[in-house]
Amino acid sequence: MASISIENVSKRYADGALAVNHVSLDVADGEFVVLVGPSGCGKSTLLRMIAGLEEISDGRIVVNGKVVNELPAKDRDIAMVFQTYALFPHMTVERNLSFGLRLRGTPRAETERRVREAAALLRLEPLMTRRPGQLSGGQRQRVAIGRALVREPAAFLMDEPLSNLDAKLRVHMRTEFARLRERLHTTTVYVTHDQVEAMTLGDRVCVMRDGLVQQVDTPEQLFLRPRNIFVAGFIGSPEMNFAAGRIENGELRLGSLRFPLPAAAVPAASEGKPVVVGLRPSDIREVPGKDTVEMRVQVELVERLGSEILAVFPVDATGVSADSVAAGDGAAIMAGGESRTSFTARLDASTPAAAGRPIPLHVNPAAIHLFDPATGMALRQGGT
Amino acid sequence: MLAPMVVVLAALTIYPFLANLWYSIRAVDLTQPFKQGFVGLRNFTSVVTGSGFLHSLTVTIVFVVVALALQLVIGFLVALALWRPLRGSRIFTTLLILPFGLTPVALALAWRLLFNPSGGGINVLLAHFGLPTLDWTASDALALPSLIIVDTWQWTPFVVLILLAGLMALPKEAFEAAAVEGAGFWRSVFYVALPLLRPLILVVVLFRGIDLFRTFDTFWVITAGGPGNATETLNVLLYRTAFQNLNFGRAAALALIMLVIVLVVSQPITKRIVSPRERR
Amino acid sequence: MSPATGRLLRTVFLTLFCIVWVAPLFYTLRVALADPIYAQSGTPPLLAAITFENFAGVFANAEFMGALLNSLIIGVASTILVLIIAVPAAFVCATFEFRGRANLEAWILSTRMLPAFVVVLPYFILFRSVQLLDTMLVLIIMHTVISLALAFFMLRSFFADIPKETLEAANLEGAGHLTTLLRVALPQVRGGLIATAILVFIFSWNELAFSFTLAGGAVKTGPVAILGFIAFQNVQVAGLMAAANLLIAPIAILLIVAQKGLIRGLSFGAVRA
Ligand SMILES: Nc1ncnc2c1ncn2[C@@H]1O[C@H](COP(=O)(O)OP(=O)(O)OP(=O)(O)O)[C@@H](O)[C@H]1O
Ligand SMILES: [Mg+2]
Repeated sequence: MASISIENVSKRYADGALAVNHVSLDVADGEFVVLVGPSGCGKSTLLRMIAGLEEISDGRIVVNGKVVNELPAKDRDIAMVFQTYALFPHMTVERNLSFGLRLRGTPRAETERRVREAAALLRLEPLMTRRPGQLSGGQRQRVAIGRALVREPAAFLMDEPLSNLDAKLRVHMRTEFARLRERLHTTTVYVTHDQVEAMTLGDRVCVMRDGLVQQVDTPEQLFLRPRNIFVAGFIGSPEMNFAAGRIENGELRLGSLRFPLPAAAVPAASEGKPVVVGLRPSDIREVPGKDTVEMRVQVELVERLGSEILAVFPVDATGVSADSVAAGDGAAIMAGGESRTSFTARLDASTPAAAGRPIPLHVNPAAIHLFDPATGMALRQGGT
Repeated sequence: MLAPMVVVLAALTIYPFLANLWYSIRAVDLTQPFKQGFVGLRNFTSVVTGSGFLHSLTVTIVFVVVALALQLVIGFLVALALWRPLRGSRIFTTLLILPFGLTPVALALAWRLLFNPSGGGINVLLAHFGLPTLDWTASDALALPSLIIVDTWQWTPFVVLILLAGLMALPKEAFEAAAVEGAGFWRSVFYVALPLLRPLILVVVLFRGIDLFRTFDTFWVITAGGPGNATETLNVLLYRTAFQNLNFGRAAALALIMLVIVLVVSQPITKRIVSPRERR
Repeated sequence: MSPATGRLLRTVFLTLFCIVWVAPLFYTLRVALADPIYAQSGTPPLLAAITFENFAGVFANAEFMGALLNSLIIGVASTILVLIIAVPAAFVCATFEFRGRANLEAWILSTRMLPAFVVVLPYFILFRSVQLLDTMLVLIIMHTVISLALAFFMLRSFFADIPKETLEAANLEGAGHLTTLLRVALPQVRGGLIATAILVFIFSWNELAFSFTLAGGAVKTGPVAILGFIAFQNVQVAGLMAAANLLIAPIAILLIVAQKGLIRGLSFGAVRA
């Protein structure tokens, strides 16, 4: 068991690229932390630094109160599950599982017991004498997890362990992970770029972008109170709707729409200034509720998902992309452009929405997110 | 874990280099053991101005260039023939590995017999078809071409296999695109395959070039540099200077000159082979 | 030209090429099997009677058989030494990034370029002074040295093909670099290791320049011994060819066994075939 503390850690590769930029993150003993972020944001790099596979350029990593910067990987007592599984192709499943224990000189009976337990847990018993080449993707994946389990390491590191599986198997393995997590309560850092994995597995989720930590929070908080426009856009599916708006007299103007904002919620400095408005598809309802504002929209397109539908409708405001604001081009985008964009609403399947048909939709102004167009930071966090 | 390798190779390169330097500026002549001592650059001047040097240099260059050109051209043609699927091509490729792996001394002996003007296999064959027989290795004019034939025989298959591997690895799309543009087979070979194979051809040129420069066994067994000194390459000259004339000082000077030639010629290509390792 | 005609032409061309290329080998074997008197009688060897007498003669020749045994011992010993030295070095260069690696490799490659006689002289003087000339040991040392670069590059290219994550996984499982090499990396390149060993052995077996300048008196290798035969004027060509065939027969077998790694090795890993 271990707590891991990442203190101001940076990684600069030999070619000068700054892959991880002054990251700090505390992982408590037994906690399951998920790292998410777009491709190339430095997740693997950070994980590999924790493992000891990559040198730390700056800052320090502390495990159980001990600085491990100079400790070689083999002595860190950390197990890792690789995206490619990295099973030893020349060893049977059984030998793969027991490799670490044999190296440590664990007594034979003990080794066998632990291997047997892990095999039972992961239903690997019928496969023990096979080699990795003779296994399916999902089976290899389970062996890789098993290899990490048997050692009962201080912590698990997992780098996109499910990304090589097909969609169905991935869902299945995700539940397996959730079950294991409940059972073992071992400190875990788990990398993924699948936000469903992040939200379902993590005690806390750390969102990264370009080597920088954007926000570390519980899944609920991340969803309800994103600290900035990047996190808001990254978490949630379908993506949050963004458009340029303006605050006047305590009212939010979004094209021709007006939303009264509670006085306390309006930051004084934004009065009369442009803001980026963020509205989650799931916060747009087909039925009115307490304090909701009605908007009449002309549905352009309907996507049916079974129990729900996604309705796309135009809004007469300038569209904004979360990425460009996050990248610092927000102010320019707000200034011009066509004042028409599309919003998506996630509605109950029974809603009588059809392309070309006007319907009334309802939004609670309290659910609206507002962001500073220049910095991308949340001005006020929505959420009901 | 690198240390043993570095130490052993340092011994291979640095010690002989320094020792050669040391001997090259001294008179070390085993036939005149009492005339030892510092002679400055006299060994170098006597090597370079000696009658044998320029001749040997010419012989070496002719041998390297002609043999290399022959092997590349024939090798490329055979590789092209093997490129697209063909029944039995595995037998061909297996046969092809024999000549360049088998003991050069044994093969050279076989060729010596084949070239033998009286009763050798080649002349018997020529005579059988009523063709004029030739003196081959016994004549000044034909000795070097004969040796070029031997080396081409021995090493063209190696060139074939390397170029074949390169051809097989070429992206099919490039040729399909060329075909769509209306290029025929030979055009697509010249304008698509050859440019793509350039790095590999460089590899062949480097390794074959160096090995041709170093060839000794074939020369020694078949002609021993003769007749006269018609096939005396730098390598043979060096051997004679050192182990027949026992003039170690002069041999060391010649060795250093050859070393400089090898390094200067090979350096640019060596870099290209070592650095692009991120292909995986 | 139709595809069928093309295939036919290619087959004809390749067959001709192979006939020309195999003929000298066949000729050698045929002479070795010919009744020795054919040479005097003026019969073309192809028409001479077949006999195994020449081979029997070579087998009975204690000196030549002794030389083959020397070659075997020197070959095996130097192959083992080469692997012991080159395997760790190749592993390090294939899996770790460190400053100066490219230069180090260029230097290793350049050691392969030296003509034997450029280095043989200093060695001759050195080994003479320690009275090692004409011993097995001196040839074992030299044959080790000449194959190091080859083995290094060949092994490096095989090691580079191993998925890096398996080595990292071994590391995390608690294996040091040496353990990783022995228990995880080497088993994954077994084929490449065997091919390398075979090639190194072949190089030793075939080597002439060092074998007859640094030894060749009391200690003769196969190639040196066979060269000795032609010094005798009255040697029978048939017997000589039988000896030559005996010298190349084991190599032919090894070549066919190792054919997969051969081109990769001889091109120093530049060609992955
Ligand atoms: N060995 C390396 N040398 C130089 N740059 C590297 C190296 N490895 C990674 N990088 C760079 O560092 C950045 C972060 O890479 P990293 O692999 O950590 O991303 P990631 O978040 O894991 O992405 P993905 O989700 O695609 O796996 C990238 O821009 C990448 O190009
Ligand atoms: Mg990654």
